[in-house]
Amino acid sequence: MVKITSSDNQEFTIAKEIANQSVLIKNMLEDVGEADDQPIPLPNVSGAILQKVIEYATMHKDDPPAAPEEETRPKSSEDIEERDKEFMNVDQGTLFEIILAANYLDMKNLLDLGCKTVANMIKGKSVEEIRKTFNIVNDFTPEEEEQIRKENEWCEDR
Amino acid sequence: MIIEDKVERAISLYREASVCEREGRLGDALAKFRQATRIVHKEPDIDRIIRNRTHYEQRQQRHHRLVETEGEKIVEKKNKSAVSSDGEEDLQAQNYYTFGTVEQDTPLLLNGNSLANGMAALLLPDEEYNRVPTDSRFNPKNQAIPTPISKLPSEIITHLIRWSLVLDFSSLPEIASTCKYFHHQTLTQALWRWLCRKHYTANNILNTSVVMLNAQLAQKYRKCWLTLWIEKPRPSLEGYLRLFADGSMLLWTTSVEPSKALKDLNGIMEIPNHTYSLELALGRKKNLSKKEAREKAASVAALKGLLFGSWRLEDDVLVMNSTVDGVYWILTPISPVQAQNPKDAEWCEVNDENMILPGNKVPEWDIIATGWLIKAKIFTK
Repeated sequence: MVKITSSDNQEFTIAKEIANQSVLIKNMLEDVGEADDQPIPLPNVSGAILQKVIEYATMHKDDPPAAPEEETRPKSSEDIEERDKEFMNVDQGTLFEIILAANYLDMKNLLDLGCKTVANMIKGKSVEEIRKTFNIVNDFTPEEEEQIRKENEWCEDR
Repeated sequence: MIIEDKVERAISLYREASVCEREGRLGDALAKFRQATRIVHKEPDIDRIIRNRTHYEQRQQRHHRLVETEGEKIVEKKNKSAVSSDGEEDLQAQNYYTFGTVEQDTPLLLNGNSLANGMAALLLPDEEYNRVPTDSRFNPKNQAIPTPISKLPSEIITHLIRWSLVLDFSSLPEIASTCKYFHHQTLTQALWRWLCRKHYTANNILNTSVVMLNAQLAQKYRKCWLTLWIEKPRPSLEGYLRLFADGSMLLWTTSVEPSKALKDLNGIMEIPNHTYSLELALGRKKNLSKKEAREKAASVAALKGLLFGSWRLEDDVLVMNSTVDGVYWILTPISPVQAQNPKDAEWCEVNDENMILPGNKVPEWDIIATGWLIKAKIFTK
């Protein structure tokens, strides 16, 4: 069993196989050795988000290990499983926090899942809708915007 | 100006040396390489000079194109000439021996999609990738009002954009028009390289048997990942093989397993012309010294032996008994990527020992190529 602490000092005890899904924690454990009583501090992740991450890791603890290199993965993994969709059904703030945490903890699958979820939010939206969804400020002049649209028209054939 | 003249002389010497090398005149090639590096002794990496030079010229051409925004035909013509001249220069510095039909004058057209051509011209070089436009209001570091997305660092935002394009490529105009930061990201070579990688792995084009890109095609696309993504060529059956004086061979394939790589190699060797061309390439030089003659014989034997030898796994390395006494051929992959299955052949990096002549680098064609170094190891009985 492994102990980890969040930034707001919440402590979690999890099985080693679940902890090892995070490459960061896995490496730390290897470096530190078998000193069980010392909890691993994760100052960049809050308690609530860490809870979610652990939930994800527990859900996927029995998954077959992914190939170490992207090149050798035969299938395209663009579809999101139903259970993952439900898991990611959170508000935007939490969603981005999970992505940040996955990046920090080096959990590729969770990071990809988060990115795919956001990508689904972008899909099919118009420019204004995208900006509204993410509160992005438009820093183009109308002429520039028109030019960029023209530049990228070719992709409709693809 | 004197310094520039020197560099020019060095560059022309280097190119002559490459030509010599390709023709098999290794002694001449070595002398010329040495001369070239002696002239620019403060910049030992003449490869870099050449590359920077072509890079600089390329940017100049791009600049000219952007300045004169004429009608479609003129833009296309300019693109055509710019790309083919780049291709020529780099092919000379390439130093790789290639087989199969190489169409020298195939222009880089995108099936009449001149807008795409135009965009290809706008793509930023790799160094620009990390330079986020600082005047962009969205730039996560600049965001005055913190919104959820502004908490994300740049690399994650880039990742988001990439995934959006994978999911729905036609959202490209929308993404690019959102804000300056997003637009900047769609112009980076890194994005298109990532998309290419995704495409080729997703559709299982990797690990098909005997898939090679000939050098000119690879060279052409190396200049622009966007073009590769648009055209998505099916890899052809041409070879990509490099010979060394000591009889080693460097083979580039898409296979990540040694047994598959062997099949690829056999595939190349089965084409009658190839073995003959290789023999010619090795045999051009007259009056070989004893050592050179022996190495040459070993290489030729290897070529033939590779077809008929039996391979076995020994100490994590594939070894073959050849028909030449006391010579064993070892096939080792040389990509820095870790082997999937540790029981497969050993991985080792190509270093100066393996490469005979200076300035030889492995191709940067990293999305669908694995290098295999086929080296002779002589066992004393």
